[in-house]
Order: sequence, then C-alpha cells, then structure tokens
Amino acid sequence: MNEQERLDRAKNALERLSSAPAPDPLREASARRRFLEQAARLRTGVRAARQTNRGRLTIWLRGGIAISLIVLALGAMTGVASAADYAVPGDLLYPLDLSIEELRLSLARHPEDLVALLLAFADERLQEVEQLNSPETEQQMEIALEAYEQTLIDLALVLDSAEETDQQALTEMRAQALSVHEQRLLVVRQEAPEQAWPGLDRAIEASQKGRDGGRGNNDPEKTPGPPEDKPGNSSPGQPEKTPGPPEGVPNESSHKTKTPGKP
Amino acid sequence: MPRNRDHSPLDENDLLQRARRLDEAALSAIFDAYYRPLYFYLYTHLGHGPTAEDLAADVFKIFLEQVSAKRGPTQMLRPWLYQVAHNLMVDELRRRKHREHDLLDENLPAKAPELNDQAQEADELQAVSNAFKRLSIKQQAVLNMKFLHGLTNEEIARALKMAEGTVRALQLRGLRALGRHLQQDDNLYREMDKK
Repeated sequence: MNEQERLDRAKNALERLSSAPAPDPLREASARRRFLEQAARLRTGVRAARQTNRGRLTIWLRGGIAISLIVLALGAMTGVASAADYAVPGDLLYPLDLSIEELRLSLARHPEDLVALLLAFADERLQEVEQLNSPETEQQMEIALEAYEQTLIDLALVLDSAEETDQQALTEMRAQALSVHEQRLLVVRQEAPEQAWPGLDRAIEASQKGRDGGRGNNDPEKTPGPPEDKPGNSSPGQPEKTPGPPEGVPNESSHKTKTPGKP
Repeated sequence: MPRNRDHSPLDENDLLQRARRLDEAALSAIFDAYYRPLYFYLYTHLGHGPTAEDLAADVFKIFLEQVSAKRGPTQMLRPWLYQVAHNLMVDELRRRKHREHDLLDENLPAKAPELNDQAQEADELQAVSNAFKRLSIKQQAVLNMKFLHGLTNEEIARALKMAEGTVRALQLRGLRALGRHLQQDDNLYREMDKK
C-alpha cells in the first residue's frame, strides 16, 4: 500500500467514526429548554439592571435638579442680598437690607463683633444720608438719619452690657468711628437743604455724644443719673436740657430759626 | 452524522449579533444549528454519549454567560463554539486520566455474535477508533473538525488558536499516522489469523 492509498484509507476510516449514536432526544430537548430558560433569565436580569440604572439615573437627576435649585435659590438670595446692601430708603429692597442687618446682629455673639457690626451699619446709614442729600430725597434722608441715630443707641446699649475689661477698648473704637461720622455729617449739613437740618443736627448730636462716651438720647431707662451729671445723655422728654453741639457746630435751635416752615 | 448547516458569514454574523442581544429566536436557531455537531465532535473524542451531551450543553451555557457579560464572539461563531467544545473535551480527558475510566469501551456498539456482518462492522469501527485514539489530541481535533465537521482551515486555526500552516501540517501528519496505525493493526490481525 503506497502513501496515497494509506491517506485515502485513513480518510475513509474517519468517515466510519461519524457513525456515532445520535444524542438522546430527551436530553437534547432538556438542554435546549435549559438554554432558553437561562437566556430568558438573563434577559430579565438585563432589563432589571437597565431599570435599576434608569432608577439610579433618576435619583441622580433628581438630586442634581434639587442641588441646582438650591444653588440657584442661594445665588438669587445672595444676589438679592447683595443688591439690598446698596439699597437706600425708598427702595424696595431697603427693608430687606435692614432685616439682613438684624439677622447678622442676632448671629453675632461677642460684644466686639456687635460693636463692629453696629459701627459698620451706622457707616452704611451715613453713606445713605450722603447719597440722599438733595431736596428731592429729603424725606428719605430723614429716614436714614433716624436709622443712624437708632444704630448709635443700640451701640450704646451693647457697650453698657459689655464686660468692664472690654468696655474701654470698645468705647475707644466707637469714639474713633463716630468722630469721623461727625465730620462727614457736618459736610453733609453744609450742602443739605434747610429742611434736612433738624434731622442732621440730631444725628450730629448723637455722634458727638457717642464720641464723647455717652449714649443715644432715646434711652431714658439707661440714663439713671441726672442730666447735669451726664451732659451727653438726656431723655427725649427733656429737650430743653439737652446741651447744644460743641463749638463750631450749629445747634438745632439755631437751625430752626432758618427753617420756619419746618415743625 | 449530520454535517453543520451551511451559514453564510453574513447570516451567521447576523444571527450572532441578534444572539448577543439575547434574542430568543436567534438563540434557538444557534442551538438547533450547532448542538448536534458539537455533540458528535465531543463524542468522537470521548466515546461517551451522556458526557458528550452534557459538554455540548455546557458549550451553550458558556456562550450565554459570555454574551450576557458583553464578551464572547463578535464574529465567526462556529470556530468559537468548537474552541469551547475542544477545551471542555481536553479538560474531560484530563479528568478521565485521573479516574482511569475507559468510557469508550463501555459505549461502543456492542458486538452481536449472531450477526456476522454487524460484528465485523463493530470490529472495524473499534479498530478505526483505536487508531484514531493513538493520534495526538491536536491531530485528532484537526482531523475531526476538517473531515467530520467540514470546518475550513481558517476556522480550525481559530478554534485551536494556531496558524493555518500548522493546521495543514497537523492534518497531513494526522492522516499519515492514522493510515499507518490502521495498516499496523491490519498486519497484526493477519498474523493473529495465521496463528
């Protein structure tokens, strides 16, 4: 037998191997059923996983939206608060400005923080006064001046309640700031319309009292001593005992003579 | 033994893509097309029907696991399935070595002494099977895929992870060895008959 005959015989012999018994039809059907059941389970699993992913996506999406809304709200609030900070009496945002200041004061715990805040707010009122210094906005300027005086009264109350060890430093701090305020108010008064002089004079007086270590003139309960003992302090019910401003500063009575129409 | 149905590469790839999306019809079609060929491939090597059936079923189980994990074949499904079947078969043969079971002898067609033709047929089949078993596993696999299952050299090369040139060499050497073993057996039988 030559090589080619051996190869042909080998190929024919291989054909004989194909006469293997067919698989058991029952086992084949069972394998097919298991295969398709496994596929169905996997399909369900894939679908569930997709739904879970979608659910996760929804949760993330919701979270994202919520965070975005919070950020937007905070941004809007910050913007409004920032805008309110520049508001003057007569503006829509002015009450909000005052409310924010109240909030900041309520959050401050230490007397030095309160004093710093109140001096900053007094400075802000003073800026408003300077900004509103014109005949058209005289009424708004009056509101700013009243708010300025009120701020100085609050300042005096804070100083009264401060520890004795802190009081001196805080009083000096106030004196320095109010000294500047007084100068600025005098400048405003020089350019202000006559109708605004009374209010300006009260503010100047209050700043002088603060600078000299006294308290505001609207706190009778905190001024137990007689007016003569504390010349800087007087109750509103005793205007005649209120001393006039220092030399060089026009007092209220002198201005009243120049503003006959003003009550 | 039925040969594989002829799938054009386009059809098979289309089927495979649908199967990868766990399409039931495509999976059914793949099972129907390949279960029996894989069973026969395994049976030729293992000679044990139930084991060949179990391993053929395992091939499809592995296919599903791979596909659902976004792995497995993206093209040329047939060589991939034969590759898995071959690997399972090799593992089974290793296990069998440890167990030292000879399942082939148990499951070959039993001789029927009363029917001489059938008995002779069984003897010849036994002789071919024995000669085939004396080939190396790789030669067996190449000859099985090539002559019994009609895989192309390219497909065999993919299934066995070897070069096409290696496939051709194994094929030729395997056929030569098989022919030689069969002739040796013939000579042996002749000598025994003379005695």
